Amino acid sequence: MADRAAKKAVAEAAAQFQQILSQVVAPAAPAPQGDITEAVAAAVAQALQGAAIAPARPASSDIEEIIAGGPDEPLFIPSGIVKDQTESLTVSSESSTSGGLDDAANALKALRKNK
Amino acid sequence: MPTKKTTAPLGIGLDIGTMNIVSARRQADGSVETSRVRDAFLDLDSGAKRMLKLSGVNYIDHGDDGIIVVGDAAMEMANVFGREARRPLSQGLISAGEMDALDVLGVMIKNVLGDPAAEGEACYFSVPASPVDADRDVVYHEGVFSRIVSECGFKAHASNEAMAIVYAETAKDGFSGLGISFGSGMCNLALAVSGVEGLCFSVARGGDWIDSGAAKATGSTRSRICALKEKGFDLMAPKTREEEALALYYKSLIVYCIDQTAAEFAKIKDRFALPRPIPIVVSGGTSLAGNFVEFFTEVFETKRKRFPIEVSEIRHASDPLNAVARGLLIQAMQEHDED
Repeated sequence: MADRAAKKAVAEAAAQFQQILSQVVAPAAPAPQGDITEAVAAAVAQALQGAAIAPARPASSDIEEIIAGGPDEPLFIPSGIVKDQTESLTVSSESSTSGGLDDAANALKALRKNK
Repeated sequence: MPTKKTTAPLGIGLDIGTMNIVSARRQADGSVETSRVRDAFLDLDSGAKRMLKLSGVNYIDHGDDGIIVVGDAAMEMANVFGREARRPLSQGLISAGEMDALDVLGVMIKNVLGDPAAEGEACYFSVPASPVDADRDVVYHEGVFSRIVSECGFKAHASNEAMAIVYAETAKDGFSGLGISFGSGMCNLALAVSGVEGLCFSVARGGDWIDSGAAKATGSTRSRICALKEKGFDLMAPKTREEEALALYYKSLIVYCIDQTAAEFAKIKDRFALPRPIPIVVSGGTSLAGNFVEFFTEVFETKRKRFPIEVSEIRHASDPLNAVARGLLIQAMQEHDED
């Protein structure tokens, strides 16, 4: 007797639950026909309808890489560093003998010629 | 672009260092003229203008933004005002975003180079090799100085700093040797055989690193240690606690350079043959400490057995402050050699 009453209560609760679900959950995706992958994709697309998708935040190491730049990133070198009218500075200059500079230049020339 | 007519051979070398910027040029009488400016600047309020005019100090006027004192005067003024002079280069390289420093470097380089003697005169300027122990951008550095030299009216050629020592100092060895430039911001090393570069690298330690370490060890300041070092002391016979600390850091730097050379050479030894023993040539401002070569040799002898390169001798460059500029000049002169 008690058993029958319990089963009846469960059945009534399940019916009520189904009714609530049908009001809350989006209509079910069409029954799969043909390729199961396409069917899953269609179901997922329908479930995500209207949802805003934010891209994943890059990890901190990725950020550093972006800042540091890759090999293809252009290198900015400013122009106009040297002005037409440049201030005159005190520069210390000294003269010395060539001290083997000519010999070194000639030897290097000969070495490069022979190669 | 104006040119300065001369009968002297064309070509100019430009050594861009953390401490000094040096140019070298041949004169009509066969001598070599070197021009140097201290690579430092100091920004002051416009109020200091009158005092600087009275003392005859050159400065760059930035109007309401103040004035900038450049070169040796910046170091002297920094002491007067109790401040640290700024350095355009840090550890041998310029950093992207140093816009103040770029303007100052433009003025300094224009002053040491002067006008080109002919249209398109070649200027070889020094570039450090990539450091093996720091993540620094050599490409930007090279690009900036190539731009500055070009804007001064020269045809710019970037060239490795330590290889310039090999060109200047090892002609009698057939351009074979290990050149080491002990600079202020870094040390540059190049190994060459018959003028062919086999190994080029730098370490991000130099004279500044020695000063910092010795200052920290003795509770002194960097500028005091630097002044002590520049005044001259004997590495083989340090007299004070500060000199002892300096000697310790010098030794550590030399050991570090020798060890790094061995490690880098191990990477290329299978494809780079050394047919005979080669000399080591040391150069640079940091090598000007008293008895540096003797000290280097003493340290090297403790490492010789395990050093993978056979060394014939260790010697000082004939002109340690100007050797890089002279090596660059030799290369620049070749650009105008018509034979």
